Amino acid sequence: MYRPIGTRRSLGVMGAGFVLFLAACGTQGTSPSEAAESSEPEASASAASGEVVEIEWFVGLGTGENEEQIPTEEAVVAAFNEANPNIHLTLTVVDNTEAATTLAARLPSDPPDIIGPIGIRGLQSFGDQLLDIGPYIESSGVDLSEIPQALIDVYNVDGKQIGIPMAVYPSFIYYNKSLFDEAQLAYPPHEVGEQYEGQDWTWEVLRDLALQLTVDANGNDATSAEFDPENVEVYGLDAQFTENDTRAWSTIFGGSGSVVADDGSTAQWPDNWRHGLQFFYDGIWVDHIIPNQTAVQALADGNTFQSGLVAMDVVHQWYTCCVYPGEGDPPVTDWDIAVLPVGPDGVITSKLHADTIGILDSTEHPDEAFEVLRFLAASPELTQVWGALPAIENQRDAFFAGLDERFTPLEIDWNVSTQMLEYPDNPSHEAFMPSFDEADSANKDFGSRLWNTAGLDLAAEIDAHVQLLQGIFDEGT
Amino acid sequence: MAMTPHTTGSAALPIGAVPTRWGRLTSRESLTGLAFVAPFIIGFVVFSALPMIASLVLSFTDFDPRRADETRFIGLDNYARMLRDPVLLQSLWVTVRFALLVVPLTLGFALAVALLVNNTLLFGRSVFRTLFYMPMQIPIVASTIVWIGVLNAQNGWLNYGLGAVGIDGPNWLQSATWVGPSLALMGLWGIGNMMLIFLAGLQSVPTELYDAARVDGAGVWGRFRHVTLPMISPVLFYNLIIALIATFQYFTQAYVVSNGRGDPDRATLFFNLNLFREAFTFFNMGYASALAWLLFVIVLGLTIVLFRTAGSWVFEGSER
Amino acid sequence: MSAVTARRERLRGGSVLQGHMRGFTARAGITLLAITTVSIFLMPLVFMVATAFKDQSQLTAPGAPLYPAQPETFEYEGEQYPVFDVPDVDGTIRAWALIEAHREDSVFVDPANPDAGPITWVGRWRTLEQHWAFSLNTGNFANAWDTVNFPRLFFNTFAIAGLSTLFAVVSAICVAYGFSRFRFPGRNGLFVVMLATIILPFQVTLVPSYAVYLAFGWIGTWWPLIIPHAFANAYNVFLLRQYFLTIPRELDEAAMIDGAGPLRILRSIIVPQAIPAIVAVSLFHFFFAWNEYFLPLVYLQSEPDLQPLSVGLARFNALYSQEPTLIQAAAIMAMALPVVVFFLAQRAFMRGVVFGGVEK
Repeated sequence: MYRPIGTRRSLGVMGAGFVLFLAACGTQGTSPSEAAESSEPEASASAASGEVVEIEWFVGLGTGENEEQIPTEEAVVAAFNEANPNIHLTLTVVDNTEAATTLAARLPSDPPDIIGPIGIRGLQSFGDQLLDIGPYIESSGVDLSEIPQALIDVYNVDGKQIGIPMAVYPSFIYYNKSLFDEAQLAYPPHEVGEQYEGQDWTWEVLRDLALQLTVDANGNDATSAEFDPENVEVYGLDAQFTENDTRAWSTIFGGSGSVVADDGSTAQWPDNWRHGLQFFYDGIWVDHIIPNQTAVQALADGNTFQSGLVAMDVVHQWYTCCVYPGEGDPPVTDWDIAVLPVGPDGVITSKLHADTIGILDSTEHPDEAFEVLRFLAASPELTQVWGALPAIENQRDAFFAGLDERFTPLEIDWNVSTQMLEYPDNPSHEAFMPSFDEADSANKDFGSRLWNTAGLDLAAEIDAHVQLLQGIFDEGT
Repeated sequence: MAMTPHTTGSAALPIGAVPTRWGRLTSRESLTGLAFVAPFIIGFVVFSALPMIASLVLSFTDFDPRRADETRFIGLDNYARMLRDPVLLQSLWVTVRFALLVVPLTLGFALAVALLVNNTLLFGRSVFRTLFYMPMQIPIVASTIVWIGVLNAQNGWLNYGLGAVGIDGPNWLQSATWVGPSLALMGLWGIGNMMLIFLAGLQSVPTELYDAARVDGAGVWGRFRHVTLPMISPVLFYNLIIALIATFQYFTQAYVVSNGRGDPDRATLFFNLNLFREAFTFFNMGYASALAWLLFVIVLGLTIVLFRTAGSWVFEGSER
Repeated sequence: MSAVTARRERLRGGSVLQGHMRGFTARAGITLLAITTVSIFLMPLVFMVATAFKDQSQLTAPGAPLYPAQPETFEYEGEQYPVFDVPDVDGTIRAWALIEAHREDSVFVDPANPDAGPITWVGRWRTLEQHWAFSLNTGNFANAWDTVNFPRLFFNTFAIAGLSTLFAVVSAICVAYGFSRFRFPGRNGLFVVMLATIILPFQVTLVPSYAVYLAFGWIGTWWPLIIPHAFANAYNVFLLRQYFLTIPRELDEAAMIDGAGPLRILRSIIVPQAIPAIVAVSLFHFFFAWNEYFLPLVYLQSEPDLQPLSVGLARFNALYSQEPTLIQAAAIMAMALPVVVFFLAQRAFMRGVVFGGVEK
């Protein structure tokens, strides 16, 4: 039904009034005086008055929007409503590709209360819309001692605690045992510090291994003189689902880094990142051990490891969602995970993804929303269904047991995952940049170019790209 | 805009303000006319004018839907920003290049198909009409997915067919060179409406004109050139305008094939996709609104130019 | 005697039979041309059907045939193994099952004689051709049907598209009549303004529009997708006006002399004369509404039970993007119904569309 919103506002020019009207909707609830003035006197009503408070949980900015995940989320919502008669929690699930758009369209006039799971990248877009839950954690006495401080700090932005860490996803190497068996090569190491065939486990050693695992249609591997790069059938290495994010590629093969210099405004591409990106670019166009974009799409439509034609694949813990036992051609029946090599900067870097749930600061019912947040954070079935390593350490064994059940009869060495959690990328490959969204997009446009174009002078391309980034940083408001 | 009088062939109908007896009823006529147009006026004010004016006002602000309450007026800054935005230039170029390719291609193909299924010699005309119209009924998301499969460099049927005649097909959708032609090929599936409008135009050409031309010894091409084309020029004109607007509004297919990003290497960053990115990826809603008004001015300008020149080529050359 | 009359003479000459023959040849030729064109034109649809009947594994398998097929396998000691064409030492090709793959030599077993045990064959197995057998996989359809609530989606789509078309056509007829038959101050200006609404991209008006619909309480209902069309959509008005201008005014005037008012003229003269255009517009609008994707998604995000097919299909597509066979099966089911309806009703549609004329 029609209800006037902010009608008492001055309406000057119709259009200007309209913008004000938008702003009025946007400020509803952000400051109590505005809210009280608006047409909803019960805006700050709480459970005390016997009113049922509506809280909306918006899912889709990260994982959690897959059809098979929704029933679990609905069950958690139902359980919450069962336990809290004064709060009515509703679930809105939007497809990941449209989630940011729909959320942005709603924010000025009709924002949800809780958003998530949302990753580090999503926080760059919506982070300053999130409520500082620090005071609520203190006043409610939530115990965070089970969660490593480093993970808590991931969600501390400018002194604001915007989320309780729920789910972390270290990355490591998924490897296809059948392809190693076929080439009669030893499996990669499962322990940090372990050597491979008498050599230190570095990217260079891994590259030699990948060359032997890359096979063309005639059965020649990439070390042979007859190797035909036009008809590669098996690739030694990939980093799937990175899309074309150059920061991610640089981090995987070159270690931690940042496109922003210490002064916070100068664009750069650090040396170890240049090295890492060169490794990746040459891996595609010179060594032919990594598939280019065309090849990636031909390999199970981007789910390259599942195609059974990729020997080693650097992916996150969440990838257990999408490796289907016994499917694919040839079926990936036999796989395991291995630790990442030492990077050019002399350390291991396992790029980390992390998910949390946050409260929008426009909510009219922060107390009730926090109640919901507590409940969700304490529901291990959620992290289970998102394929995430629980941030709370004592939930991890149960999580791995659940995975083991899924992948029986395989026995995956999950110890690799917990080891890799010790080596997160810092700064994160999804960390803040000035004009974040534009800069992020420019990085991906650059990635699209590298992924599809042979024979580029990479050093010159990087320099040009840094210049472009500088322009974007300077444009930032 | 719409009322350019022009000299017409014999069968052309009078255009524009005609009769005299209505003139006396001016005041009442006005009221009646306005009454009939009222639904549009009301709807326009509520559903179009408000949002349009809002977007014009927004184009002078730094509006970000995530921070609506921090919106400031920044004057002409958004319009100045266009001049130093290299990506905008690129997107304009992508769009213009695509328009030059796809507008003649779809118009020509739709006309050719209309001529074919209008030919009295054809067995089962209605079946063919239906078959050519059929792709219009496939949801765009679905048809784009089909085409992505067909254009797949490795196992798509297009390269398979080209390979059969000894041509090594390109990486259609991953090559900055070929992705435009790929989308143009996809566009051929969307000719259903154009074809029907052409068909209606062809049906309205009086047969005696063809007979007369035949008597004058015109061959197939001559008849097409001197009878068909001039007689269907109004329809052609309508289709041209709609096709042009559609090209500048081109969005969904580009969005689906490029993951909403304009890949590869911004080769599919059409104007509207760039605008979408500014609005909903970067949340520069103010700048996006300014871009929308730039688009608006460009298309309006093109339309006006077309209407102005219409008199010289619509309905010409049917002299006998 | 000019060349022209000579040609006409030649046309009239020849026996009747020859004329028939020539006519038949021409008809066959034109028909063959149409068949060829339509085959190429609809080739992607064939691809779609073929894909929908394939097993997922066939898509990525090198050397797989175009038609739906399964690689032949052989069960050996409780495991399934793929069968290859292997050249034996004496050069004969044998269909053997590959049980252990290596680079330079591999272990096979002969399905005809499994008791003979494993055979070690020296050579590269990746150069061998796999054995394929035609096999229709109908599971994709059942699978897609179970995942997507088709009946509900069809109902929603038909309801939205049907209502929206009804409103849109009625309002467009009124407005086009007003624009084509009456002079009133600011008419041309209004017409230009109306065309202008086509040009502004919806993405920009999305946020303000959302606020308007929210104020009306329409978010999470079908109204934002239907009501705006009840106020005359510019495309439809433009096309209808073009048609109405071609209807001779003498007809209106004759009716006026008989004392008919504007509404009756519209009902008894204009609408019957413009049936083709009205049918065309209804058709265009219906399929436009049928295919609309973005706005339903934004306005119905919180109401999965009200969403139309396009949104359901896109979600399905995102969900199974790794499995084109399932997606194509779902897409076929999504289009089957409208295609059948259209095919049955096409006589009426096409007759309507193609006997009128369009005029500027």
